[in-house]
Amino acid sequence: MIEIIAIGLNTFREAIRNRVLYLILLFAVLLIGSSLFLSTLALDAGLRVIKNLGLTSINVFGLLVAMFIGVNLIPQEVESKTIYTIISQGVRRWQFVLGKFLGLVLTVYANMLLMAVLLLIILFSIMGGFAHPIMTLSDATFFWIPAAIFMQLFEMLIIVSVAILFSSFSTPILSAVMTLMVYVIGNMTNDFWDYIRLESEKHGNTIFTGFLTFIWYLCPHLDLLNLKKLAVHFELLPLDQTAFPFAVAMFHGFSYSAIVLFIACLAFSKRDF
Amino acid sequence: MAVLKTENLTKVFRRSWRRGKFTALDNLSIEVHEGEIFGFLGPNGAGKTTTIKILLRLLSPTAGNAFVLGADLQADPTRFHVGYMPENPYFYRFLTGEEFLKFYARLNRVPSKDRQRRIDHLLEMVGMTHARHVPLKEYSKGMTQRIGLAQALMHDPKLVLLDEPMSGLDPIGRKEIRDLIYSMKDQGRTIFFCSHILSDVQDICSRVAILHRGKLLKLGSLDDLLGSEKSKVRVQLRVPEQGKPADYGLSGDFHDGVLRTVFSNTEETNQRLFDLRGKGVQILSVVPERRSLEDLFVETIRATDPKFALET
Ligand SMILES: Nc1ncnc2c1ncn2[C@@H]1O[C@H](COP(=O)(O)OP(=O)(O)OP(=O)(O)O)[C@@H](O)[C@H]1O
Ligand SMILES: [Mg+2]
Repeated sequence: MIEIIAIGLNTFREAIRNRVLYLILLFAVLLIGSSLFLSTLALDAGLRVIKNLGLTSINVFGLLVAMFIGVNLIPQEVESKTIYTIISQGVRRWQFVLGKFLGLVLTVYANMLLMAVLLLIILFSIMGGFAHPIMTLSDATFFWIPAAIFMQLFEMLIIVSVAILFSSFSTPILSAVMTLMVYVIGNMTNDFWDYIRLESEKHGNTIFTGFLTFIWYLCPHLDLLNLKKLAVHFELLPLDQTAFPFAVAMFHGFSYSAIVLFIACLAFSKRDF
Repeated sequence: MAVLKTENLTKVFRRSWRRGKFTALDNLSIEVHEGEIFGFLGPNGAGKTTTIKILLRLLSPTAGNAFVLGADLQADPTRFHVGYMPENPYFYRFLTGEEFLKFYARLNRVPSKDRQRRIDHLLEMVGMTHARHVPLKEYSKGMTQRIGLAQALMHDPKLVLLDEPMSGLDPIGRKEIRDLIYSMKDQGRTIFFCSHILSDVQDICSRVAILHRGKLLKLGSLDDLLGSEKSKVRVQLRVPEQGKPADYGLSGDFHDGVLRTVFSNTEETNQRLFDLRGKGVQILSVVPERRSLEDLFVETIRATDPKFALET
């Protein structure tokens, strides 16, 4: 455990001194900031734009960090040969993988927190504090926005572990592409499922639909963790459509990343350097 | 006691399907004794780094086995404490020297109250106290090498593996690393190192192995391999004025009263010089005509592989 924490903190320290991180952060902050110009629309529509863009940029930020920093973490250690010295001092390979994961999660979370605070400050100032003319509007905002960000933490757990998994045996570029793919497919598992159903209604259950169903089960169901619709529109849609019970969604995020990490540790422990 | 032992260690790399397999290490059996400085030599691509990586469990051997500090590499997954410095490292770019060492101290569970003292001591030992707050990306090659040595000693290992610790250093830097290796030996550690700088190896190693294309060609102490006792000795003498070398039973190159000649071994040299001193002959220089390690290296490689272009 000491080893994992030491490697995690070290990874975090390295990451927050990396210029790439600030480039990504700048991009995300600009994205949130740009929503301010659009908010000159009617108050209601403007708020929706800010919330939507804000939540999206926090999400995209996490993805970019995983794609540009996360997938490099392990290859970099191999390149600079630090992994050799770490392993020669008795650290197990799975401890190394978990340490890198921990460091990346810390990096992503710290910056998400920063952006979340920024978003809330913007919303707070535009709505003139909690005492908005329509009380329920502000109540709901300051509940649903943090809730949506909280669920994004679990989504990022999945994205970060997927990035670590691919980079434990593959090149950074391939890992980045694969991570992006998992993110995109994972965010449309609902539509994906509809498509599979449509396909099998038309042609019956073929090998193709079987394959798609397999992929569907394999993919993380990121839209379970996506509360954006709720948070932006306060639409209390039927439970089975969007607001899948939180606990189940959180469990999904947790267990999915745990399994992915387990595979990453296995892949890494067999690897030749 | 053997601190390090390999038994028929073999590594076959699977390269691309077109180029097929490649045997990087072929039945290597060596033994390194406690407290010695062992030089592991061989031309580029001989398999030195491959051997070290296997010893560190970074690579799995195709066949054979090795024992490191008593632990069986294949069967025994226990932690073992080996200091290691990789070849051409560049470490964490964004950390300072001190942060870098702190990280290794944590990894090795150095208690937090001893940590600072340990780091100070190691920085002092490798002469890097002045650069403790400088980020590693600004370090020169020599500085990186030194901080690498400090890192390797963090957990006070009994065995230290150094992969080309002197490569790319200037003569002063090399001498300092040599001194450091000596002091590690004085602290009771066993040092196993690769190097292409054979004069350094000859200076500090007690035993060496020469490897070529994965095969062991020579293994033994420098004295045995270079034959120090039986080597010839080249001497320069000043014969008293009006004297001739023949008067003293000497022959050789004679100019301006100075004679250059060769005695056939150490014993004869001692005997003769003692006599000559008594007869007023002045001794100008005595140089053992020892074969250099470089000669041995080149001969050994040429003998097995005449076409091999030596890159050292
Ligand atoms: N992962 C690998 N896959 C395929 N071949 C490899 C691999 N690693 C090393 N080799 C080959 O094995 C041989 C031995 O390499 P190694 O790095 O052990 O040499 P070395 O003795 O350390 O040489 P140098 O003095 O240049 O450092 C080389 O021919 C190299 O090309
Ligand atoms: Mg090498």
